[in-house]
Amino acid sequence: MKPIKIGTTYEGGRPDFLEKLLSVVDYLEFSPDSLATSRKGVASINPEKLEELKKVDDKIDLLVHGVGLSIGSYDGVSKNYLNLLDELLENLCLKWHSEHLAYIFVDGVNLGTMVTLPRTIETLAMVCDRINKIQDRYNIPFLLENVVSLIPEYHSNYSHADFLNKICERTGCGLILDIYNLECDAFNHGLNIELFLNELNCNHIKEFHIASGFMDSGFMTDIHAGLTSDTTLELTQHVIERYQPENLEAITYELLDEFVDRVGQEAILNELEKLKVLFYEKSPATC
Amino acid sequence: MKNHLPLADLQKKILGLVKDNYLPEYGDENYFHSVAKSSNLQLVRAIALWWRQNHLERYCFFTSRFLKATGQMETTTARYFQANNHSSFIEEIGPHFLSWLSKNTIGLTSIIARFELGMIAINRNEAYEDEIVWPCDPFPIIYGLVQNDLSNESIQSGSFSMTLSDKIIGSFEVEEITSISLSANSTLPLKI
Repeated sequence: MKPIKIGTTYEGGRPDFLEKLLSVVDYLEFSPDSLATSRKGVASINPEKLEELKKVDDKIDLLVHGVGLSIGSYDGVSKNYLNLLDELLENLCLKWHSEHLAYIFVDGVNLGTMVTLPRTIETLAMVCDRINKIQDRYNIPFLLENVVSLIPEYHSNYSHADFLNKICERTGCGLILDIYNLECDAFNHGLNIELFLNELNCNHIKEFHIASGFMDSGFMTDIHAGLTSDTTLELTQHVIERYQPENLEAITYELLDEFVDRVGQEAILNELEKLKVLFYEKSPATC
Repeated sequence: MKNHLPLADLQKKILGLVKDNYLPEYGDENYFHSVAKSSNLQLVRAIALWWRQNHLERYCFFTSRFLKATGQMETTTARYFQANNHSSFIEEIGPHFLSWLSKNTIGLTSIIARFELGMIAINRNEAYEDEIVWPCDPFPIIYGLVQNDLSNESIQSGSFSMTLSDKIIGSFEVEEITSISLSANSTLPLKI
């Protein structure tokens, strides 16, 4: 295993906080959608936020994690999102980029949240074709992330893990394993995490996401609103020790910008320090 | 192995269920009937609405505070998002929502949305002119919203004409219509 780097999400517009983060994290992960602004239907990166990131580009690694690509929409991916990614790649040195294995638009209409895809032969072919095109267009690694299933699952040809394995095998893309999303799926739908991990080729995993959420109407939601719980950290540790994902390079603590003030900057910095102690200093590669 | 519905058909039906404008029919797979009845679907709708409300609260400061203070936030935003295809960008949703409110609601809700629409345009350095007739003195209401302390006492009867313009220092002027004309420049901190 490689040494595991620790990073966090950043949505721009908090220069003082950014300065503090630089001393704690190895990389920052941001979403093109959060940095974007739009006028008359044309999206572009907010110039001030782009400038902020350009200033730290040579000090820290930068990763992109999108929400607006909608790789699973039957009628095509978002061109607006690709334009944003083009703009970022023209201006910043990005280590890799990633998206969710889901769809958010249907016929151009915004669902308002990400919905998981049916794991069918048709979907597999469509997603792989799109990943290949994305990888041809951008000369940096591309990763896909498992998202929380909210709507009951449609009958499928593949299990969760097999679907991810097949996508990675056919395209060469990597995975973000969202540990907290696994917990949500286990709680909400009875996903057997151990069976899932046993079947998943964990060597496709390049990055972990860890986060927290809250309960709503008896469901665990993945709205990244606070500090990670002990169960999430224990599961993360367990996946590293038991499955030894040999290409795992990064663990990202996700927090929505909306909750930064509520959680508090000091608490966030402490959380990142804790993750460094837990996962960087004790990672098999650095011990 | 069951036959799968083509992805396009599946996603169109899911969209209809999320937007609440499609009811599964007799010939539809049981799957869609069970999704329609599920609490999962309610949760998806609630999450989608939560995100949009969150954005609107940050962008449409006055209107969202007014909607909350009058207990209309949930129902009004739900109605809006079910009826409209919203952009992913708040710079587009915000004005569209305010414009929709100003046309599809009545009374103070419509007036405050129209007022905020003008303020946002003026703050974005756009040329803007509008004249709004208020059924009460706007200043106590605007002050109450700024302080997040809107009460019945904030609504004082009368008839007032508000001129919004990028050419006015302070962005708007208010004149009482029914009695002696009274002109006042805005002195409130109204940067949105």
